[in-house]
Amino acid sequence: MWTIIGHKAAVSLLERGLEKGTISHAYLLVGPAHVGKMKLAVKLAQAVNCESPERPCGQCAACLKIAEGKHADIQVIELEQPAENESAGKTKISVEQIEQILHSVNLPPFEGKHKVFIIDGFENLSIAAANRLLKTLEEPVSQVVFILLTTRENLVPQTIVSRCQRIELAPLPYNEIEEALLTRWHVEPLKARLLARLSAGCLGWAVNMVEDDSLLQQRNDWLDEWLEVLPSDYDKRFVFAAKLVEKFNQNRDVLQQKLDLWLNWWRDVLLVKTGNPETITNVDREETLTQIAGEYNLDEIRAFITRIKTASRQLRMNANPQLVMEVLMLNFPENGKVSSPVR
Amino acid sequence: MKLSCLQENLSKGLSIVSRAVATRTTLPITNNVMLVTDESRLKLVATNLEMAMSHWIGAKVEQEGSITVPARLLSEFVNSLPAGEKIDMKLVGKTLELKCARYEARISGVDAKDFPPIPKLDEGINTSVEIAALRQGINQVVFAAAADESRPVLTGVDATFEGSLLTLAAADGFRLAVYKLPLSKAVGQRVEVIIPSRTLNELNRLIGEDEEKIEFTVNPNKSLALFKLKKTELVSQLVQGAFPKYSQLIPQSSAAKATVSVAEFLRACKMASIFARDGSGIVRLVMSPGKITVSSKSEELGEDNGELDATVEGTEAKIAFNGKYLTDVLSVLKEQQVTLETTNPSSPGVIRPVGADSYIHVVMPMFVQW
Amino acid sequence: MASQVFYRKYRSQSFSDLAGQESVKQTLLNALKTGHISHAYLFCGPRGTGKTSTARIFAKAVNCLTTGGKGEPCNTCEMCLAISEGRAMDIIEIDAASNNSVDEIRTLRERVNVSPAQARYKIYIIDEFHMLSNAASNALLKTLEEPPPHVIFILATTEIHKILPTIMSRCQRFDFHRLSQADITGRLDYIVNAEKLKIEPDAMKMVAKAASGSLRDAENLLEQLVTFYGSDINFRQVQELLGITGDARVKELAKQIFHDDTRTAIKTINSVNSDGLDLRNFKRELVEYLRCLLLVKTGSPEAIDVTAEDMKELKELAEKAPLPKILKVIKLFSQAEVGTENHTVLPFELAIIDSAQKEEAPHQAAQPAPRPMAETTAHSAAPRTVHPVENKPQMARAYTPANPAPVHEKKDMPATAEHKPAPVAHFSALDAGSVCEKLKHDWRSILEHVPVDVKKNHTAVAILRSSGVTPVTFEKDTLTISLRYGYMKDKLEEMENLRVTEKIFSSYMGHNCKVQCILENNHLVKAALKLGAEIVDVEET
Repeated sequence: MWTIIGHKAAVSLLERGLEKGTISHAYLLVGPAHVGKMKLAVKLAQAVNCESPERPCGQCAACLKIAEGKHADIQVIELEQPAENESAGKTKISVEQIEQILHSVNLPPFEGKHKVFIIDGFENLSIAAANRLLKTLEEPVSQVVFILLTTRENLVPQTIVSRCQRIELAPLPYNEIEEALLTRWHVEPLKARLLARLSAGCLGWAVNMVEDDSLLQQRNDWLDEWLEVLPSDYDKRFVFAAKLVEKFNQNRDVLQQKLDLWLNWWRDVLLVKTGNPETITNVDREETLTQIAGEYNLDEIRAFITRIKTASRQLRMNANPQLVMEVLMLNFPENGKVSSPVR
Repeated sequence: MKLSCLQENLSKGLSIVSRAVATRTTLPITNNVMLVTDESRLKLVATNLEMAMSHWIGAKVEQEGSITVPARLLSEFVNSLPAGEKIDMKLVGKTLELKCARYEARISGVDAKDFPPIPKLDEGINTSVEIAALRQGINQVVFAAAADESRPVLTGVDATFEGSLLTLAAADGFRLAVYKLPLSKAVGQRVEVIIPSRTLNELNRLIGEDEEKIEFTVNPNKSLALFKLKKTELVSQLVQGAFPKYSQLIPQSSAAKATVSVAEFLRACKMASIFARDGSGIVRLVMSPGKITVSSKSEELGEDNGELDATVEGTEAKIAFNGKYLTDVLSVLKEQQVTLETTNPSSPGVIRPVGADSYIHVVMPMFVQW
Repeated sequence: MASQVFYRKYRSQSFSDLAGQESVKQTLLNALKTGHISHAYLFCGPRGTGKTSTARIFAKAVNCLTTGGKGEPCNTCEMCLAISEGRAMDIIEIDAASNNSVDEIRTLRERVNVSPAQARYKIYIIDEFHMLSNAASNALLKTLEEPPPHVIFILATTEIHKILPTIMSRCQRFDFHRLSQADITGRLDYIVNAEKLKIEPDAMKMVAKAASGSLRDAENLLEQLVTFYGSDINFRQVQELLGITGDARVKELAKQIFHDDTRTAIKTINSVNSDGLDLRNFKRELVEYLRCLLLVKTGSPEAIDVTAEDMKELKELAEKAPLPKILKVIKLFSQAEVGTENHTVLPFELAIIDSAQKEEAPHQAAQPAPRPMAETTAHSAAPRTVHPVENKPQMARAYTPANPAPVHEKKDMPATAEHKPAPVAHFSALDAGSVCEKLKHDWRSILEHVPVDVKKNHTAVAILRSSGVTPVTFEKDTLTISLRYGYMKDKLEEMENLRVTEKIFSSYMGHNCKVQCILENNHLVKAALKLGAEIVDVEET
């Protein structure tokens, strides 16, 4: 009972590995955030430790303990949370964290059948830490399974990838997510449709949205902010930019998310403009989308998308956030109604 | 859970099991110590997932139960209480209430069912050894195990149970120590396991004055060993992997054999080591009729030359060793005299205490220009 | 239960087993035969090409009790077995990543002098040698040069360029090359036989091809196939596992693009995505199809291997599609950024829209690299290619703050490939108002190529490079630079810095000019910024 939605190929690969007793000692799960990598990793950890004939049963003591994160043989390694006296979190998984594993690898499982090491965010390993794993990852003693998770495969050294069975978890098709939201989480149809689109194929994200209503509200607020500022003059836009930058200095991700939201919006405008309204993401705002699509010509829309992407990339590359955002504000598409930029 | 026990018993028990409390861990509950009533005793349990220690203390149990509480907090509190006083313990919900004299404490705990299960060893080989012999074995063998983890099997001590003999061996690629001791109860089949050095060191520390024997159990798939004392049990994980076949490392014959006083030899080696510090620790031995010269030199510091009386049989011989390896082994010998056997400058040196055939130590020589 | 994976189970145990690397094998075997054993070897090459395996085989070969170290290891004597099982005390495998401090190398250096316990040679196999710090590498130099006679070092690395030359010169170097498909197939055949598998020759070929020269990758792939499909493997299954779709929509999409049917094309790509197909593979196949189209168009259809039916389709399409457009479309799609980190269809959609854009010249060319100044100087008299001047008129118009003409349309904002920042197109130097634009465009390059007597790390240069520093006007030989922060302005206005700044720009302009600084504090500057409004570059940190 894997109870995994989607990822059929990945699950059946693991299932057959279990049947034939050819579970590998190292897997690399590649896929975007919230697509279900950790979920699959935990299931695999259960499967190799499960006491029932049909693994993973999800019911036996071992499965339950693993699900609760209380099993002595399952270790999850991730970025260490900042200690109380540290302001910023660590940006790398340290050599020390890896050394602890290496010591532990050589001892047999404590209570289960296999030791399982799940390294979440493998791209966060320092080069030294990754290299330190190489020997062990190539030839660990028996009864050990490594599961490495990453959202950014190109940051994982090739020497590591080559020692693992690589499994890619692609985003799920919208309809599978919509279906799952309808049947398993009993979300009302319109919301399910919207969330499925917004999730970009990552079920975990959609489920977070279902479980926490404020997240969807936040998306609405963010979108309204952008839409309010779109037809406004430069003064208002710059005030907005300053506000965004202030937030950015506290939490970098939020601004990226806001930009992603805005990018997605303009993709929708583009889709409406080119006659594909059925493929849009923001299905709850089709009316506004249609209206905006009518106000701008295709070139403007196309160009603005590039500008949003550029801004987003520049932020990732540590450009001055204020400059980036102000430039973006200056580069909002013109529809002729905007007042003069200079007065 | 409701019981009472004596402060000194609890304090001592906690200090024993706290050796097994995890320090850095991904499973927070292993920072706790588990308290479980066991008939008329209180059992204290701690584990770092490599070894688990259980210790029983006498207690007046009014109501059975179990809980886990932060080990360090409990130890520090109990240690600070006046000695000789009675401690009353009561579990209210998940909170452990302690009362002693006019002091009271409440410690929030975590349910004992979440504590990692301490493995039970009911099957496998079971035997026992004399404490004194085991102590000596640990002292004379463990130091030869490898300190770095690049070869995990070498960080442990190889233990072979065969007939009524237990052979402990450790090697780090540069030396080998082998100690044999009798088993009180013969085992039916030959079993070879690798015990982590740390476990043996902890065991050595655990063994109290009043103990005579220690019971050993190794589970059938050789992943765990149980060491049982009167009031304490230690379960240890065993290192997995194949230990080198060390018997081939012990030379069967020798060309020269010197017999010397352990104390004199040790003194000479220590002195030579001082000068050998910046020369890869090289200490040179020359065996000639009636004596051994022990020398070392450093291009910058100078040199040292010592002579000691020895009975030398066979040919004259020259050989160089790392001084530390000689002082390590000579320091743990109890006997008065020791023999050193060599064949040529590039074959191993064999050290045996005179009057005891239970111990052999093999040291690889060093390459030097004579 | 975790069973041994193929690459461990079938690790080569003798030179003859080893896939490829003929010259390495031959040289090592000769060395063994003649007894010319070197004391330090450097094995370099990409992952999965046999470095560690060769090192272990060599360790067995020199220490083999049966052959006396004269050739292939026997793999039956006690020594060979001990080495194969990883319990030989004298074969020391170290990964440099875990032992990279000077102290650890010192310890190693001391221990090197200790005789081997059993073997003829004590062998140090140091993997990922490039992970050693320079200090640690240097600490090892002397030992590498003159190790004791019983020691052999084998250093292995995937990154040869990180190895100190002094280390290289002390080792006998062996280059391990990516394995050919035939070498990989040969080794896979062995595994297939040993595991009693069946695999179609075409399928095998495809596995070998996908492994890009790494045997371990090929073995992993084979293992996944076996796990997935059992012991009988065909071509289609390999395609499926590799995510090769063979989807008919590749052809449809190509047709729609050349018919400028943007709407349907976008529908098509979205349907591909919602079916959960791998977009990267879809892209690869699309580009491959477009390449076929190109070959047909350019009159070399014999170079492609497709069915007659497909050829007919290609020919029909080629007739309708003009060559420049084919080239443009190939370029647009091969640049579309899809990968494991970007699963959206947006890059495809943009490429589709860009494909439909009429050729109006501005954005097909990639950005020219910053050129040497002389060539682009505003006052250069040399004839220059005429850049699309219609591109920029309103730049000039709105340029002076005194004449704040509102900008109503900016159809020119170049929307080229997203990964190139600053898509500011070329400027005609003859266009008077645009000197400043030009400066902005070349800003980075100007600061890279300062006059020889100015230090590149001069304070003035550093300030000029900072973000928030930008030229705003150039009038009457006076360049006005706007600075975001007051302290920067104060600093730049210091005599020395001002002098250097003027020197830089005078040299660039070809005649003397003055520099004046203003503080960026009003929307006038921002509006000006807007017109060249791209960030010149981004400091990567």
